[in-house]
Amino acid sequence: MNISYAHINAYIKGTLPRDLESQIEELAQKETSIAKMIEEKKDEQTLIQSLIPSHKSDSRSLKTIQADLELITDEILVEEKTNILDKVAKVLDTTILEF
Amino acid sequence: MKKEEINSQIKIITPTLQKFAWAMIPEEEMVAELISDAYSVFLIKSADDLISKEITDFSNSELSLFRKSLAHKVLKEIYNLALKKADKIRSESKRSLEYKSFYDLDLRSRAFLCLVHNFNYTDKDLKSFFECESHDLIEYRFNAQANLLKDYQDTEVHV
Repeated sequence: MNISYAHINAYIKGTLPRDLESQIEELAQKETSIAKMIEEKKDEQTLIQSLIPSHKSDSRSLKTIQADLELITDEILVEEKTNILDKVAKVLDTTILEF
Repeated sequence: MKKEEINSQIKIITPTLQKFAWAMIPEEEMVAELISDAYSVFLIKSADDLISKEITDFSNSELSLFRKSLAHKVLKEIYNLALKKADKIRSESKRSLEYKSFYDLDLRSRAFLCLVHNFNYTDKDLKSFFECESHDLIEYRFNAQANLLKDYQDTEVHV
């Protein structure tokens, strides 16, 4: 089997099909260069992940934003309210019995 | 769909919106402003669709898919607005020393890395988000990761 960088990346991401995953693991056991490459790639991904902020919001700022968004929904969305006269007109227009 | 239903769904995805907006700009007030403006743009564009949509009978998985699509659309608006406000954002971003390598990247790279690493976006999601082709994603991924690591290594050398 020809191993490409794409295979290694998919293996690290855990998106490789099970059979290919096993093949890569077997190959890594036989060839130290492949094992080394996988380790290096894994380390690189861990480093990249640690450099990306994953903001944990405090409940106060979260609640403020949620309240703002609720206000925006109320201001922008206008629910269709059926006029009572339209409802009456609809009933009057309906044929109840037809001979 | 009623306003209360939209609000309850939006409430659930707000932490996601907040996390993404922080990746665009590490400034609390601007984060709130960015999210509010982006949500307004989204609502104006999608008001008719949202009102006519019925989610009352949705199963949990259908609701989850609906929320994913809702978050995707609002995140896109956050990103588009951030691009428009890039100059203002760039000057504010300089304040942050924490995650400096990340905030030194351009907005597209930051968005890309955040979507992939924090939200597990697939290539299909990314193509829809950036409205691009598969080969563009390869370029975005390479540039974002390479520049992030380069900036980090340069910073380490200087420290």
